[in-house]
Amino acid sequence: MSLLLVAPTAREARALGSDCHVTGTGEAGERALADLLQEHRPDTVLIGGLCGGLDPSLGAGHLILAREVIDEAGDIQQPPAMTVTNARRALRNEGLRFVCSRLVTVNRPVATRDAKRDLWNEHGAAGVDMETAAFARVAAEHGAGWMALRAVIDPAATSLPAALRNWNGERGDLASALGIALRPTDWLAGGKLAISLRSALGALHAAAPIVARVTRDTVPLGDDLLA
Amino acid sequence: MGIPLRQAFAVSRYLLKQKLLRKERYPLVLMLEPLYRCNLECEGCGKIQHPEEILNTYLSPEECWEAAEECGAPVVSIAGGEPLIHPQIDEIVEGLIERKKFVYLCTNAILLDRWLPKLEPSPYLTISVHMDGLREQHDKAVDRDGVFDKAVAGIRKAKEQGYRVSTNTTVFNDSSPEEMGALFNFLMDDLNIDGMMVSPGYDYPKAPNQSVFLKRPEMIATFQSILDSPDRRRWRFFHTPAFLDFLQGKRAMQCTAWGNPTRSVLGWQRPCYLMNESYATSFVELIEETEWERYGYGRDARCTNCMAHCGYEATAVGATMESPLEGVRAALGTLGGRATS
Repeated sequence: MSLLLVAPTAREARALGSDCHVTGTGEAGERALADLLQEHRPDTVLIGGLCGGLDPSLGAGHLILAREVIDEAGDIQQPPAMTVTNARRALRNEGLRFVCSRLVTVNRPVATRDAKRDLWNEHGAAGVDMETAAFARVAAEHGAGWMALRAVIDPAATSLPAALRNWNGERGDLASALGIALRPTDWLAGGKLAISLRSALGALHAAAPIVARVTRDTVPLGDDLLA
Repeated sequence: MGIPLRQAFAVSRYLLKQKLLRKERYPLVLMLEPLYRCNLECEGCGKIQHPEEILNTYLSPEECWEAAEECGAPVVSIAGGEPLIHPQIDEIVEGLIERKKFVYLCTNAILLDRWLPKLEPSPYLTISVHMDGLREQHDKAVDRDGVFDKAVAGIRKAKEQGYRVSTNTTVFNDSSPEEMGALFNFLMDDLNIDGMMVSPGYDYPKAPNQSVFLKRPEMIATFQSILDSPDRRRWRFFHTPAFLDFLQGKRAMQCTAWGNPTRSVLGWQRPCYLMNESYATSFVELIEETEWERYGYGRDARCTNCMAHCGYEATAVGATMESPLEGVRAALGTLGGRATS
């Protein structure tokens, strides 16, 4: 099975491996993914990256292997069940800290503890991001399957620094760091986030090759065979 | 939270020991089901649908004590089925108390009158009576007229004879907040019980009536209405304030399924008290070989509408231990006897 590995930002892509493509975020990210799909024509897209934690039992660096993704309209998309099962077993065999759960995709950062709690109560998603549901839809439109692997950067019990609460992916790392540096009230949260970032990227780096290998090796049962 | 000081200290000491031993997963309450046979067929029950040969099987007192020792939890909740149908329930309770376990004997109280002469009152024993509403509501939930009156008579007699008595209330979609409030006032003021437990019903696939269960958003709204009552200060719950916050949607929690392991006539039930996927032959096997990450809200569709205390109270106790503020709230509840929030 051929695989296309993608991540929204360059930092996330570096953690995922040298063959990972950067898409960008938002509608530009969806267009970039569509172009990549046209060019590579993969069987499956593996969407990797960071996410906010909603499941309160997950700490920074905890991995989430998506068993499904839900968007704010309530539409649910699922990756091939057999590939998810095989990836779950492979991650477990490697002793990595992960859960196989639901992701929710929204269109703005979920920045505060209360907002995370409400989203958790509403959707039961372990993590929140801003791309997976849209990317999965683009993959399906191009006849490709999808898998998603995310690492928690900000756990459910934490709030993001105020300087990052309107982050939309367009601002670079330097601008984000400068924004935090200019707000002394953000220094503590910013420091914690920097530590969490390191942990989350390390987890992605360890897990991505495993999920990529399993996704390449798994041939999902065809619906025509099951009929 | 209203539990006795002796129990609060014992449980705190146990939890501290687990922390010092750096144990990742440890039990808090052993759910002991010495039999599945029951003398009622409640509309929301998923325990009594086993084949006849299993319903005719009992755990022996020795098996019950062995399970308690193997598990090591400081609290044992004897459930079922109806435990008072077990011919040696007095021996089982006595043996657990000898082992310094805090025993919650869960019963519908129909047979309580017969057993009270054989059960010694003890600070380690709490008789926990099932109460889903006032007369009409309760008798409907248990599908038999007259059970409410028997339960009330049993509670009065047990209180007169010096037993600690609590109640266990399951909230369904026809439990109005007003009726729940009236029930809690009656239990506290008229029957003078020692404390109450409350939990939303779990949507057992095998339950006789599937229409009675609440979905999670409805559960949260219902508990907000119930616990918003001006009478709330008079109600003494055997729960942590954190668990009551969770029921009202004020706090995010994930299930701690291993916190309340279940030992039944079929073995150690996996993964939790409410779901029986398979059975382990020992407690160690249950803890070490269960893929716990697969279960919980968001992870397993069967957990979507579960907010039951057997899954989340252990999480709440853990959160209470980790937060000085929550610790103070719980301590105030224990010392003051009433719920704090």
